[in-house]
Amino acid sequence: MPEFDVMPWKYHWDKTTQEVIEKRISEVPTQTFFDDSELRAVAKIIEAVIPGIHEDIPIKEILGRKIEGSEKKGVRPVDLPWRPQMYKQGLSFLDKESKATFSKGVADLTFDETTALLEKTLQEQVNKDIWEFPSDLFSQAMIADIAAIYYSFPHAWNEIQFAGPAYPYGYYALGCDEKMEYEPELGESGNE
Amino acid sequence: MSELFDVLIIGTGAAGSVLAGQLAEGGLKVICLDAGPYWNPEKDWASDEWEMRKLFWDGPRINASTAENRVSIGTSTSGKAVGGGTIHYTMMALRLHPSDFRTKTLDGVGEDWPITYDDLAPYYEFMEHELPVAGPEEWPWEGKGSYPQPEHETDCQAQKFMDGCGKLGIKPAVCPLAMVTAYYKDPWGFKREPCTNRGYCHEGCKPNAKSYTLLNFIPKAKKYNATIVPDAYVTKITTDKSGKVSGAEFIREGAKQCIKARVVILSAFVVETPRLLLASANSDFPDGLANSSGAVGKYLMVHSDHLVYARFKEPVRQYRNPPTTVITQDFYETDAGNDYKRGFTIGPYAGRPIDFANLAINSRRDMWGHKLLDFMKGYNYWMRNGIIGEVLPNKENRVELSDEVGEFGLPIPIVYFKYGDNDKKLIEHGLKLSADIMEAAGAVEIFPAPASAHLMGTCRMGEDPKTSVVNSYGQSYDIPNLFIAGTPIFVTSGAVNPTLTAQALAARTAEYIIKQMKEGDGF
Repeated sequence: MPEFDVMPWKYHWDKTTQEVIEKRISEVPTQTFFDDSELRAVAKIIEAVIPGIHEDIPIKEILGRKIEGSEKKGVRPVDLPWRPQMYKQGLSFLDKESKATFSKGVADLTFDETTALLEKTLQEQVNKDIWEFPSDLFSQAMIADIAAIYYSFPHAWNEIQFAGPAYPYGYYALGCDEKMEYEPELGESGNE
Repeated sequence: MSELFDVLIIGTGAAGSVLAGQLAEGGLKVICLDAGPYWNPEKDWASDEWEMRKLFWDGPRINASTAENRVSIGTSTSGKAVGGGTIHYTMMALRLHPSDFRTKTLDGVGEDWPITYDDLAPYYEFMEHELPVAGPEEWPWEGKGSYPQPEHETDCQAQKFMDGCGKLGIKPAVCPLAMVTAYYKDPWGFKREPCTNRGYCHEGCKPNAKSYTLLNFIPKAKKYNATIVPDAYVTKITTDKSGKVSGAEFIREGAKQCIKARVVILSAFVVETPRLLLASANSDFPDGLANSSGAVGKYLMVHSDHLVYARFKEPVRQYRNPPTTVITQDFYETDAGNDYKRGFTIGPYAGRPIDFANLAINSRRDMWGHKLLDFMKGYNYWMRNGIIGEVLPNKENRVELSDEVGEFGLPIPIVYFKYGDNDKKLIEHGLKLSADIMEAAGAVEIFPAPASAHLMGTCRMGEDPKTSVVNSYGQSYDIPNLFIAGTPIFVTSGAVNPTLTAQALAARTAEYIIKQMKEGDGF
């Protein structure tokens, strides 16, 4: 796949967008929601969801900061608690499940073990005495949160060859065989 | 505030903005309260998915739809700002069809509206010009609009869709969109440039091509001296001894305030509108305001928005252009050969990376880890194609107040929903057709993703006060100086995006209120 880098185009973006993206890639937010043990567990989960994730992408800190202000905000499925409690309880259930399965907590799991544990939760093949709400809904919500943060980073845009904000310059070559200079060169996909 | 206003509008979204502009122009003294901010697009908005989640309604809602019926009741369904959901909507400015107003008579399902298509047609046309709307000259189906701006340019994913339709003998057409596509002399002094095709339509339109109401009806309201109060969270609608509404209580900057008005219009969308009516119950209205029928909160509808992900060998680059620029309505009307009534619109629906990843994650259990990364590396080769499917009204689908208390001491709303048999059969057929079109276009991999869009109903209009909340003008049968505007008053869902209809109904209501206030008894 050809190399692609969206960031050289930042100088053409509007000022607000530049500031928002610059802040995202340069600042690690301070979060107080997760304690140290939870942070280590979340790091393992993030690695399983986004394998080989670049160390400069502070997903767990952004996630913790986001959850802090989300008590009774947004939508909760009736079978899950509000976001903060969902994460606190869910991580606690996951840790107990991990200890029951691997005799160690999530923070100490290998990549393969974390993957196996998440798989169990998504298939709801979990210990019903541990889980007070559906394990699949919890894991799916967590995966969606992690992916949302990951795909907000220019690093991920480069990986998927997404041409980014494109404002104010826009796109005027819209046909299948056309592209602007700031869009990636693409061939036929190789993974048919 | 001790001042007495002619009209208090609660919520300045798609419908509330239109009412504000029209009523103020009509000479009435109007004040609007909105729970959200008054954005400065140039300064406050970024071309960025993550940042712009701040446009969505973030108040608490509990979703009690079951897993197989899970519908979206937050995020992109509802806005929180002056301009409301029009700031982040997809701009699809489609009219209902004449048959949508008579589903019970024609098909024996749903309910007839107390008005016909012909009653609403002049107001559709008014809205298409005021917004303005860009649309095609050729329209092969019912509900043809009148478009002052030329149709939007199509793109690669639209081409794939049209190729697939062509091979199957399906007629496609360019979708009317509420936006500027050519030179436009803006009457309100904004610089409105034609669409730049950057694709961040759900993130707020920084180029001001989109016809969101901060650019038309809100400035109109201000020109005619309406007062717009942002960041004002209404907690109660008040009544007087005569059994009429007298105004509202709201919280702003931490302090409780009251406002008095001769007429109150509640245009706070499908969840917050019944929430406020129910939460404003008092000794004169123990079951909530405007609820002698018991229908407040009932007959909630969504659109089935089920779609397929489709991968092509060659690049599609879905990130360009508005999310949808072409559609077909060949399957809109009831077909005697189907095992269901009513129908759907079909069209492609692009997503930015976060939206694209998250819907796939929520649609299947294996989309994480290396599978997710590999899938997303193919982002430029995928597109999505799906339906806006009619969902029939069902009294059991509803908004109620839960036992939980949220911000400002208001009960948190809880939403119950499940699809009916007709809905399920319609979805199954729509998904198959969506996939067939993609396969005919050359897709090499396809998977389905269940989704829903839009919210309608919960304060439906009707001719019978025993079974409906308001008349065709949105006027409460129980409290004549209380109006409800927007999609809550829909009787059926139709199979098109509801915003244009909500706005056309609001323009009709505005005309009625002005006439009554000036010539009638003034409620």
